[in-house]
Amino acid sequence: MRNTLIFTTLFMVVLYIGACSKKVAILPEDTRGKSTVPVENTDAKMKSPVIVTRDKTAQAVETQDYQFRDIYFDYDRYELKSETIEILSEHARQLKENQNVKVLIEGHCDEWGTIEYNLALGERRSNSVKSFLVKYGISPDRLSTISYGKERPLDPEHNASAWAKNRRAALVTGS
Amino acid sequence: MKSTSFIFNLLVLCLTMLTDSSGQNDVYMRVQSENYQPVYLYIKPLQSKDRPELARQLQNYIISDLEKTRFFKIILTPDPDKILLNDSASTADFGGLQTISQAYFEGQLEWAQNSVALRGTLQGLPERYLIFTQKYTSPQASIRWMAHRIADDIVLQLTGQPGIASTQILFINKSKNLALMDTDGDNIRQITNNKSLNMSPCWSPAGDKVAFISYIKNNPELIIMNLENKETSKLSKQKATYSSPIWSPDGKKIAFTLIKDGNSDIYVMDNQGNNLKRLTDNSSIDTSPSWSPTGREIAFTSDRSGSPQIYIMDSNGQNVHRLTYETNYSDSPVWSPKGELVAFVAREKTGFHIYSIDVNGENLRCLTDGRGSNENPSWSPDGSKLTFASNRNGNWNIYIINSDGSGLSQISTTGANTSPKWSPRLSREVAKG
Repeated sequence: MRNTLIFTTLFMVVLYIGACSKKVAILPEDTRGKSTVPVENTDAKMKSPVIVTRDKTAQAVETQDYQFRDIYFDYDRYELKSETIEILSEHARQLKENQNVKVLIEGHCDEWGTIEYNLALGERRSNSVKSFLVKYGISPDRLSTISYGKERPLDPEHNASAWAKNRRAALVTGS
Repeated sequence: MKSTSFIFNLLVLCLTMLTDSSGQNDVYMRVQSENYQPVYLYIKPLQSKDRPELARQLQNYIISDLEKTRFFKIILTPDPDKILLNDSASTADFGGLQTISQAYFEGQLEWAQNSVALRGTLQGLPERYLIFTQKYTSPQASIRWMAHRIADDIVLQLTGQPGIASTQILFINKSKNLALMDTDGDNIRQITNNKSLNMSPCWSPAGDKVAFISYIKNNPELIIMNLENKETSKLSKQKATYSSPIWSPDGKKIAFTLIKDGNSDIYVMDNQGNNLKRLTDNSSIDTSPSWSPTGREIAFTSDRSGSPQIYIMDSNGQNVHRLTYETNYSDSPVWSPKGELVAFVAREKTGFHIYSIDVNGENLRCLTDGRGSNENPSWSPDGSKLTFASNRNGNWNIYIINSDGSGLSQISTTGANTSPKWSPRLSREVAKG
């Protein structure tokens, strides 16, 4: 009974450290979750609590888990910015290595625009990302797009920092 | 001396606040100042021994509807024979149409178990000749709707213009569902109930259906709902993003935006979703179509010049020309019911403001003041007012303003309300509460 308790506690602590280190290591400025769904990990070994607890180290949880980073855009623009090309290239490499993964690319906008115009702008942003990935060799069959315009802001605040975060394309793994 | 001026200032402040908060007074003052001659309408208080509360409620609804039109000076009088006729009122002038200047309305109520009947009589003064008499019946739960019908009939008889009390405002509520409300913001009913995202609602010209965009399985689809039985049908047939649907004035077609491969263009199809025709073919964003009342032209938004501006084309896509030049970032065009104006939004420092412009590109007017953002204008069916969404008081709510920019009033208070669409005149109550 006591052993079980210790084991469980240890397990939870390791899991907690693992979870924290994962976020910090991969996406330090972005801990929001929804838009950064990890690619499904095929390495089943890492999911075993027994192995994790025996190691007793946070590194044990460092895996091939992959989180897509949001692609940010300038105001009323949908062209990819130079600083996002590198991020997207990395995403494309990951997609090449994980051929079974399909991605939905969501286009989002800040609140500076009407609902209808932003819907079109969001679609253009998601399509810019899709075109890039297709040029990189990812099959268009694995990529779908959707625009939410300004309807699903990541940051609901009304300031420059929020607007910058909301002008984005988010890659979400799924069917 | 100092304290006197302080009290005076306080008084002025109070008065300003009073007129500010009660839009009706404000409107009435403006009407007077613009040399309108209101019709003096004397109303006999509605009486009922059995149900005095309901009688008073019905009376208040009628008076409230009539006051909102700006056409009347209402005087409640229990004894028509002792009416003091106002000498200054000769004949009222509604756009060159000479009409009656003083009238008297009385209603006789009859209550049945669950229904109510009102025999309404309108007479011209001072001769007391009969203008019209009509019997209205209604379930007791719907006396508000009965009041709207009565008010609209009085407006039509005394001004020659149909009233707008029996209209509704369709909007998107906090849960991103479609909802309806009366034009005073009461009687809110949610008419869709899904956990999806719903947007861009609009009315059929007959007011019996609504179209809107709903995200179903990660795809924005174009849906039509019959308001009588709430049945829905899907008109979108392509795997693409559908947006901003709008019925043609004859109800036979629907114009909308179709976004495929990142490009957004305006299309038209019949009201069954067939016979798709492309109207714009441009690599820029083309969106938000609005039919002229004749159905011959369509106003729309395009960023083909570099920033979004309003354009007009024939309804077959030909003869495109740009309407707006003086405003930057212009969007959401809505053609006025009489056809002479287009209202739209243009971006300024604090957000969007509502503008109107003559269809020949002249007489640009800003209708809203400098507070907050104001979006998605929609005309009342008589063209006298516009409804729009604004966050001027913090939250997004629905407002109404006269077409000259006067008489701003906030009609919804629940917050996160957007995309208001004013109904056409409705022949019957839709989606009863």
